[in-house]
Amino acid sequence: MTRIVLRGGDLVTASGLVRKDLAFDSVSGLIVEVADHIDVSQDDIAQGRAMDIDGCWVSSGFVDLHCHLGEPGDEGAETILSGSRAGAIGGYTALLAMPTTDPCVDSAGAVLGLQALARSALCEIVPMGMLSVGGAEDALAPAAEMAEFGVQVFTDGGHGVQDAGFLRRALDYVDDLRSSTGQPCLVAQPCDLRTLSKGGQMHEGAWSSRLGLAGIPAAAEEIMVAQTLRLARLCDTRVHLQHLSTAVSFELVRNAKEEGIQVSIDVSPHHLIFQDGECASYDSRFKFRPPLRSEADVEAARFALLDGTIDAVASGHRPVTSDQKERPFDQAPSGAVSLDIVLSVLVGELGLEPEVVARVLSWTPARIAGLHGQHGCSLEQGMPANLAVVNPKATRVIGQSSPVSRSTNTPFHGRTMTGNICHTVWKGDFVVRNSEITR
Amino acid sequence: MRHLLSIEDLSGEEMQDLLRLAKSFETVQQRPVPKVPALRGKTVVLAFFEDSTRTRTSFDLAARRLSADLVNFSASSSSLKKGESLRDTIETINAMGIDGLVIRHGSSGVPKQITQWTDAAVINAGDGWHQHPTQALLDAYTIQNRLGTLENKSIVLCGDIKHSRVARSDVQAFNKLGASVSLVAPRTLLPVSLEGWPVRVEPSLDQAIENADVLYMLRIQHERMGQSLLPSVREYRRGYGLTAERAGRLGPACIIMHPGPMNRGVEIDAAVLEDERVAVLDQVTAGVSVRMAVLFASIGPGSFDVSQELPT
Repeated sequence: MTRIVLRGGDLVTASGLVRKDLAFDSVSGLIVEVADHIDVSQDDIAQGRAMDIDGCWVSSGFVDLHCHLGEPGDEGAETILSGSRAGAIGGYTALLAMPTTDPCVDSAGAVLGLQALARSALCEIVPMGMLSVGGAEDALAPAAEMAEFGVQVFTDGGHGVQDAGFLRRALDYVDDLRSSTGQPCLVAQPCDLRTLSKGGQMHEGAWSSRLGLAGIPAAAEEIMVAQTLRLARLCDTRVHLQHLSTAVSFELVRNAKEEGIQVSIDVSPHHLIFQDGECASYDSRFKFRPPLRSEADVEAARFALLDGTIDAVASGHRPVTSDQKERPFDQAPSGAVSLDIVLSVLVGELGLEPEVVARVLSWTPARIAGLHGQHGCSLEQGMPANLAVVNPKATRVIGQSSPVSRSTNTPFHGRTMTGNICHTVWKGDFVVRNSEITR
Repeated sequence: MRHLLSIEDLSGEEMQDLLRLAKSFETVQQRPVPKVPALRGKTVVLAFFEDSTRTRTSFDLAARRLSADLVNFSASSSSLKKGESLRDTIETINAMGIDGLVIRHGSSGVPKQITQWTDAAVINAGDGWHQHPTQALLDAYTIQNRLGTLENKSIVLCGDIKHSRVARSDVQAFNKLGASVSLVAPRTLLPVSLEGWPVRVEPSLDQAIENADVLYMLRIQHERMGQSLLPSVREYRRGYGLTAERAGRLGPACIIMHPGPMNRGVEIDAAVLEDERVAVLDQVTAGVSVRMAVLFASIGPGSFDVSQELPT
């Protein structure tokens, strides 16, 4: 056993920060002691087996419900290894990889292939599976076979399943796996009604009209949210809605939760900060799907995050090469790399309390994804040592240190952000130490 | 002025300065040798990534009449066809050492975007649905020539406002020069939001033309019919076409404008085009003078004595 002690930090608990020392075993990967004070020797300090983390928060490692890791198919932008490094730097110990790769993850074989690629990753890579074969909304993908290899969240990504009949069958089929396999299988669904949003480049409103860019109306999202919620009620199943962005969407979900519909949702960090007016730069780093919305929508998102309507913040990490981002706005792909800035958005930009940060980045997403045995656990003896050590005061300039992701497409480029990861511990191993990748 | 990307970047006063400069260049064009050495030694590239006849020819003549060296570059003959990126294309042109880059592109925002890749002054010759600033200046010039001023004039823009860079530029330019602007269009061809637009929306063309000083007809593109924005040309003409009958109800001093190319018999009837109130060719003529002014203001030596003549 090799005991590592984190001294002088504050553990993040549901009731706030608690001043405790924490020791974990790097061999078993478990927390071995939590106490007011843990004795260490001079030798421990000299050998790096005792780390002073005064002023830092210790949270269970973060779990990302929505990231694109490029591989297979888009290795120029990202690989699973480079994506996992970006995740580790951001405090993540588990990343749910979107299945919309090329080829997509719609078979048990593809899941195994992805797991093979993930062997050297710096955090746990959890494959998601497609709902339909090839994303064609025609044939159901073999969910039970994929579930056998650990897939628990199924989504077609992109604009979300458009065909209500298909989505109904998928909700029923996947929910059925919960009882047959005992795993907490779940359908996740982006919400974008294609017939209404087609051709759109940014949020439809005063800015799109002025900039001469085709708009994506808020209603394209809201209609899909309403439809999906209604289907979840019809089927009496759980459903997770990915990356919601409008005030009306949040209101629909708030009401649905009150009615007892089993829905969870996430929001991207960008939709908590940026508004549609940023597109006036015609800089495609501000192009997102869903698009950046109005001021009122951003306010509603922040409110929904605090009142618990929003269950999780999901990075939406989408690496895109600079070649592609330099195309004209209407031809450039959407999205941004973001695994490394989510924490800074919540801590530095929004000033959220540590227990809110841990709730939306770790505890709740771990539960939604069915990973709560390993991630998002309470910090107690015997629990897995998957940890994020946060320095809430530290600042850095985005894009200044050498990049860990293969891509650099972020609207935060050049911005000074507060709230950094000091250390990330995955299975008892420092994958990030003093804000540097260790391997 | 360095770049000209959008009318938004100009004040009414700056526009008036450009119009005055255009006026002085108009006199140049009436000489036996319609040329001045104002941009001698300067190189202008016309980079048209989207088809255009009148705007390209107009910029071409403007540059020649200022004695600039000129390179024409169009998408159909360019390396873009071979898959070169926009950035590489612009950086390549830039590396050859140029002073002015006149760009037309089908995507909104491209002129602004390329300013980061070139040292040359960028002049927007039309980008997507966004802006066409020299069109707005030549329109203002034409109105000023015919009516003396734009101040307190009532200008009606009719047609496809939503997809029109001309409309976006004209609305801003006419407003900054003191006119009151109203729009007439079927709802499907109006921008979704007019927040911040200094305009009034008129319910019908028949109502709008009652007190108009200027009626500006926009081109309607045939592909809009296929997008179910309009049922048919026939129905469009019925509500929004300038028929001979409607032209008869326009005031005697009202001028009729169109940015071209026109769809005769759709937004404007052939018979109406014979009317003296039609200023379409004045617009084309003004285009050259206005573009001379813009090129000179962007890359010229600052001041120049227009009375200077080239030897015959």
